[in-house]
Amino acid sequence: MSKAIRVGVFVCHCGSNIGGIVNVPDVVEYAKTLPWVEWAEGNLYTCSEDGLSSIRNKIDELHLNRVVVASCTPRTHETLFRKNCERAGLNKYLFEFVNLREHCSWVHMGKSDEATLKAKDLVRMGVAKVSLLKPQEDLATEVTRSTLVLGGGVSGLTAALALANQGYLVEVVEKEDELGGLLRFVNRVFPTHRSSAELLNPLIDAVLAHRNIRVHLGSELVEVKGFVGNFSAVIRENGGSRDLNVGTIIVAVGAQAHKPEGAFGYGRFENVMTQLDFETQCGRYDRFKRVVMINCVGARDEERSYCGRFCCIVALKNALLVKEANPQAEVTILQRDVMAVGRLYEDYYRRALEKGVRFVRYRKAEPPRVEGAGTRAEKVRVLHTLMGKEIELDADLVLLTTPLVPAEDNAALSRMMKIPLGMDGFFLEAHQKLRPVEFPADGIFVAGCARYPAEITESIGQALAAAAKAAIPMARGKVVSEAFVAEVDPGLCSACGRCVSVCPFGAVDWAEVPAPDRKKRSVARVNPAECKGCGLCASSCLSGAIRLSGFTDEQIFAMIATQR
Amino acid sequence: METALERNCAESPDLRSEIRTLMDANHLNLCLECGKCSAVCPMVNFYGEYVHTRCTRSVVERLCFDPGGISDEALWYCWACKECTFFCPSGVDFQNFMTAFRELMVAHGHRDHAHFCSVCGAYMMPKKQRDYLETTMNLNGNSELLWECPNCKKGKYLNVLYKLAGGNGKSSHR
Amino acid sequence: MAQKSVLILGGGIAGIQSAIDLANMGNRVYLVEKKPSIGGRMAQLDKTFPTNDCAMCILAPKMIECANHENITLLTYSEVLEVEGDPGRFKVKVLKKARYVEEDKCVGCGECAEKCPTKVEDEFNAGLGQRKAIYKYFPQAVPSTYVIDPEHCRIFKGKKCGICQKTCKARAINYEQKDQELTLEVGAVIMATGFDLYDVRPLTEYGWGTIKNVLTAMQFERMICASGPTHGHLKRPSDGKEPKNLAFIQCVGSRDVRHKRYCSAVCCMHATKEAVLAHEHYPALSSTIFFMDMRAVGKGFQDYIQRAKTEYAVEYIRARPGRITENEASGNPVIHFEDTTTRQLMSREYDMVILSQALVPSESNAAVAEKIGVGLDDFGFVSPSEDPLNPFATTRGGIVACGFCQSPMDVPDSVVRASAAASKVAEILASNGSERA
Repeated sequence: MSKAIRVGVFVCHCGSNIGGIVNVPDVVEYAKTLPWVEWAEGNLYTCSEDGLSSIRNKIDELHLNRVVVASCTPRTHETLFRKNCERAGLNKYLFEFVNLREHCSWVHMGKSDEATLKAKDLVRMGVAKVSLLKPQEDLATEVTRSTLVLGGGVSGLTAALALANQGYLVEVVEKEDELGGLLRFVNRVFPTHRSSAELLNPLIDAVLAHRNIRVHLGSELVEVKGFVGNFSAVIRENGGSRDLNVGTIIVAVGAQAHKPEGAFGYGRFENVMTQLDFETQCGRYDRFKRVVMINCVGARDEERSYCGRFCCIVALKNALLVKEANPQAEVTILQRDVMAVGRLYEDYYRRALEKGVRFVRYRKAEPPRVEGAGTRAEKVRVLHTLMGKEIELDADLVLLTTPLVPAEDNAALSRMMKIPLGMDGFFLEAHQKLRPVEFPADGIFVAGCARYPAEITESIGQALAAAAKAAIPMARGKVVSEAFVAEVDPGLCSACGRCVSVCPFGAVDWAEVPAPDRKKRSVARVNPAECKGCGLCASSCLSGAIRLSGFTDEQIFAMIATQR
Repeated sequence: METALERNCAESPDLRSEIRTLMDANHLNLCLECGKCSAVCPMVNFYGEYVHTRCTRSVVERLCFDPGGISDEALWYCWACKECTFFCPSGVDFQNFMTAFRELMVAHGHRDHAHFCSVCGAYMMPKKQRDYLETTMNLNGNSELLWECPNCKKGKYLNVLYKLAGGNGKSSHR
Repeated sequence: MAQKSVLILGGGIAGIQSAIDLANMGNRVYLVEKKPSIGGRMAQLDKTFPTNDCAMCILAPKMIECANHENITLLTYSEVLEVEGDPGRFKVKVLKKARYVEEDKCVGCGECAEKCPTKVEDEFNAGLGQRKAIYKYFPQAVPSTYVIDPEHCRIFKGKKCGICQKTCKARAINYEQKDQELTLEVGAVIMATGFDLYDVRPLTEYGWGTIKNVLTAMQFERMICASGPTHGHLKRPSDGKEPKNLAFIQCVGSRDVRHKRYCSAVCCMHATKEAVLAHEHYPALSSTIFFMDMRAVGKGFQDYIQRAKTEYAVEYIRARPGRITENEASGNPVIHFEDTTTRQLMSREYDMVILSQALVPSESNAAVAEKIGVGLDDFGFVSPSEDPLNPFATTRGGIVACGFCQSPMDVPDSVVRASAAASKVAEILASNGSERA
């Protein structure tokens, strides 16, 4: 026996945003004529304290059990109005938002009459829908207060320490037999020229000593299941495997150095090497008299369109180290743009210029030519674009400045955790501007070169940011997901798999259900904790097996049926 | 192995290293080749055409990378007016370099393109500058403006003042 | 025990982001912003590179989240006066300036501003438009409360008026309102004070302020923004005509020993973005960008530049122009430059020229830093941290910095660092203030 539906309709003027085009009093009068509507009123700003308390008062006075607010956009105000209903003791899912602004007044300016008619239609549809809404509860899941950090380089270690210091448990999984990542191969860091060990060792020591951190060396991630707050991961270590239960995951697997085989004599001449090769094997900086560096090798070209971001600075660093060790050395950098961005690096660039490092601009279409005899490069010829002349530089060392490239395992990890890769092969964050360390799937974060080449300060920043994001659900102790989620009817599911592949959040998976002949069959199943209620699965399902609560077929048909 | 400067510049070692010193002292190495100097240089107005090899940026580049490629003459077009130096965003003091460089060249006997004071023989300006000024200024007998250096002019002036003061003093300005 | 509360100075995207992160972790956050609304510089942008997202569309939800978050207290139109004490237990004094409009009564309807007789140059619109003496900083301001500018309002200058008070149906105007001094106890402080735009008038060679059709990048941004003074239409200041070609000059004031030696980081990309947007609005329009180095280092940035060249009629010329003169008959600015790749001296006339002005630490930063004991460098940026493992530390323990006030950077970098600063603060609060900041 269902209770009688009692709807309250609140139509907003939104200042003059709606009221200036739509005849709000007219819409209010119209609303009063609709079935189940017990109360209708207009407000100047329904979201103001006045409007909100009016709604609460009417719920109380008139025992309203459904509320329709016809105003602006749920994007900004849905939470506010839902909370307001809750405050008055009404289940927040018995509320329907009708958009009279973006969907009406703002797109039909100058057409008052038609806009008002449309507003009435929208309100009528809203009332029809709200009558079919059922009370629902948010789903709260417990969050395990521990994090899995994939990668033990500067990013992974920084994130681990930050979380451990806040009291969370951290499992660091590193595939090499030692911690440190790429920084192990870097000799000195810019712009201080201090040894990388000075930075890395204290970090490693702190991580190893921290009682909240467990380090797994020589370990690789094999499998991940679950969702935010409840991930179960399997790692392979010491020949065996181990299960880890964590609440959040930070992907900090870094990137790898690029080996530009065949370019500019690399592999053929023993004195042609990358900047990183130079750092690992160089020994003393004062051994060299004529150093020529070629920037943008393997970057900003047909093969790889991106810029390595900080490799220009690496070149400056090594140029300065050579010059400072041997002021008589001639160091020339061949470049296509000097990316010394910001406060610090422009001065660093000037420092190199002041020390006598020379810069020659070359064009992508006319790359330098490295010439030599036998196994040694001797000269570099380049068209000095700005001078308009080819010049010849003697060289006893040729350094190729290369970008970092995506790590080999990225594709496998991407599939394992359902986290996307960008076109460049690095992990793709949820939103480039405002969510740079998050993935669309909740609870998994990214930091450091796994996302895009990043130097130490940036990596540390991103690691701390990822730690902050990971700390949020863990601090709260639970993750609350909205009740408007999708659900698969196993009886109708034909197991075509469309929904599984189309879900951007990895919330749809396979489940086994008993089949008539006592065998088992696979059907799709939505994990309500991960589902964001976007509806892609429901609209892609050819069998009509998926129901999105809050937007059921029944509700939508009811809205359509109200049309004249 | 010699640097390009050393190998191409067929001058005495002293001149080579002195040029290098001048370049460092005037921060020519800070040049980022942005072209602002060439854009503000008034040479194009005086000579009626823009010839890139005469301009600041070209001179600086070739001093760094192709000194042997600089024809002697190219370095005697600049008027040392200081516009380029004023606007240079990197802090290259080209005007000071140019002035000092010319005095250096003259000291080493390279006098063909220079114009000297007819009284004391001091370097005044490039010949080209004098030629342009002569033709545009219509001097009509006031040629000491261009043929006497400021020092000598001051000397003359002082002598006049001494005369007026009724003495026998003579200026020591040479 | 460390106070589980934080003071954040600056309500731009960095301040907003760290506020949300810390509030979500369960801490109380006081977000102090000197302007009447949070939003900062991002609120002035039309679109953001490289996604060309509408800036306000992605910023507004975050502003609203701040306003509605139970753990965040917005203190707009406010300034910090002093920070005493030690990390974990700071005592902070904040001055909440009087708006002369009651926040809990004003519904933001705007009728007061419509009737106000006093016009003032609009700072938000980079001087391109006018606002009234009673105003909302921008249409989507958070909070949406209006504010009276006492420097221009007639009442405060002793003249007769009171029109806004008579007009206000909510009876929210209160000329007697007083500044309020608040004392807060917080465990840590975040500096996120952002940047200002360098005044390019001293670069007389470019003629801003004398040649009408020479604008700054921010002025152009406001012009092309649909919610700006010209509703997104490009109109030349001299005659209101639609420009057919634009020129952007990079590094105006930046990378210049005579002005600011450093690189402002975002201009290469924002000039490209503006050229792209202009072409989108006017398909027949083309642009030239005069640059030194095209610093497109971020994710997706190189592709953006390529698309600008191939799809949006943007030409890049490597040159730093010498001068801009004016064709007096047409009002067209004429750019005199040496194209460094062809070694030709050229003069080109454009309908409009946009100067990518240098970006400098916020003008009020120096005073704020002094009040709270944080060291700045020669340019006014927060002095770099001595600890390589903690790039956000300032010279005062318990106070961390993030965003542009540390070094020029774009939105994604600011957002990352804001969350990083939040993480550092969480450590400080968790460790009872004794953790190195």
